[in-house]
Amino acid sequence: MKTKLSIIACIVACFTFLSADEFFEAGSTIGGYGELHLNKASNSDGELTKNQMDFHRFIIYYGYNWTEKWSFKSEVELEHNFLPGGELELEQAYVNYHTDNWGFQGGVILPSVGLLNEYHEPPLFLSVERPTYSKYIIPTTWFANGFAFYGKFNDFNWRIALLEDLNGAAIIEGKNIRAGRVKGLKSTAFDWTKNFSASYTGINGLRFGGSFTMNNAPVDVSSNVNNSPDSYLAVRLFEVNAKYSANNIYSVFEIGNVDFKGTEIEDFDDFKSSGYYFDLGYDVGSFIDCGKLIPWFRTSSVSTDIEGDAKEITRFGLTWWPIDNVAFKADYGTVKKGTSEDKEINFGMGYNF
Amino acid sequence: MMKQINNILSILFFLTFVGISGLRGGIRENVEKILIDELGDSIILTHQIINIPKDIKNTIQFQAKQKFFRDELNIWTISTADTLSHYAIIDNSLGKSMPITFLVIFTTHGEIRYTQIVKYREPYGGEISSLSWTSQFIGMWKDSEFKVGKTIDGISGATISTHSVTKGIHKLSLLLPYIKSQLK
Repeated sequence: MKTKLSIIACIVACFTFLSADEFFEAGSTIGGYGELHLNKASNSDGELTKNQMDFHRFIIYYGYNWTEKWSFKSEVELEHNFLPGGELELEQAYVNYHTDNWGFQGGVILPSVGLLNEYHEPPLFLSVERPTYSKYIIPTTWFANGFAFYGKFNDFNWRIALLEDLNGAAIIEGKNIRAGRVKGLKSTAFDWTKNFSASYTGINGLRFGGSFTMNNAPVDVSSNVNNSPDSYLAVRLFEVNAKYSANNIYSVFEIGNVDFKGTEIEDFDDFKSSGYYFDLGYDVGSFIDCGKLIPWFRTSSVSTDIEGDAKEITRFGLTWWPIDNVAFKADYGTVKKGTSEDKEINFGMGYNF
Repeated sequence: MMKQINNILSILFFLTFVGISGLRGGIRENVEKILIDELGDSIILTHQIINIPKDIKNTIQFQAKQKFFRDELNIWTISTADTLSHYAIIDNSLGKSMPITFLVIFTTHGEIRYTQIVKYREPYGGEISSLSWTSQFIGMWKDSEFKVGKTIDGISGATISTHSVTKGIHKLSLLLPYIKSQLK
């Protein structure tokens, strides 16, 4: 018995030796990001409709690296500073296995959809608030229970994620995909949400990618959990995105479409959402030696169909990064919908570490 | 029965050890393959680990705005036909949560001849391993401006890694003149 224990101990020691690369040390890391906003808005009659100061997001990242291949990563988010009223969410919590060319994730993960869902730290985008497109067409931050496999081949990157179902009933009620996020709360996997994505990064400063996400979102799962629901909402999201950041030019383009088709749902008409936004800015910081300073312009259109006219958004702004991890932002925009036109002015500060 | 179990465990132990030995193709070995690929198989490599003097370490960390991973560095002096031609250094810089191991080859004048990401351990941002990104450092030296978004193009989705490795390469460029005299 003693011999057996000794040998087992030797095997364990060998595996420990295997994972102990001289350029890697096991241990934990902490990071985070956050953003403070001041939002003002007025309607077509010039009446103030919003005057709010909000510490919108506070996120703490914690990770632990057991070996250079096996690690744990997590993010906990507090929105709007206080509970009740705000939200406390476990936005990411997954075990990651990573090799040079492929990897695996399991836990609470993010689907790869659009530019902002996975890379949403405030210094990474121009406006004070995330683009409207990244709220109603791509429901950032979209997180869910599930698994993902990813890899790369030369300058092409791919990822396949299998996630919990969306909530079909909530989508029908809210009339957008955002309302259907289950956020890992006792979720189902009757159909699994399938998320396929790819991107190309072979040209310095350019990222070009796209994704397709599909799920037959159950509408009523309460009656019998052993059988697939008879009524479901087929959700199909297709989007393409590109970002260029080099030679002082900063430009982003995203376009996407979501189809919602019902099966065995009473009093339901199929509908869809679609939209795009285009950002263009130029870094003038190098001319006056003050870090990165980008005046920018955005044009965007977002339609959730059921509401009728699309929102046509024009926005101008100035974003200043005194250091890479801190951004001060100001923007002014108009949001036209049919005959109404709202005006918005926003100020913000964001950080990450 | 007991003896059989012990034999099986012994074989398992042996196979595990052999397997591990085979798998453990270390970073240093990989670096030496890269050096031969890049500089030719007629080169003579001399590997050494040097300690960075504390005062120099503090000065450079302040200038580059990044800490060294350790107090020691793996360095190769590279000779061709009995003449010193290059230096190669590997070091780590920190990504979002994992260390990124990178190699820099310098000419004897301190100019960057070649850089490569030797090991990237993060699930996101692996695009910085692309040679089209690392080749931007070729020709730079300690007094060059190492600035992402200005002299070095960034990579969307690899913001932390690009800044970290850029600072890391700058750090080694600053260090080289101080340690040349220590090298064999």
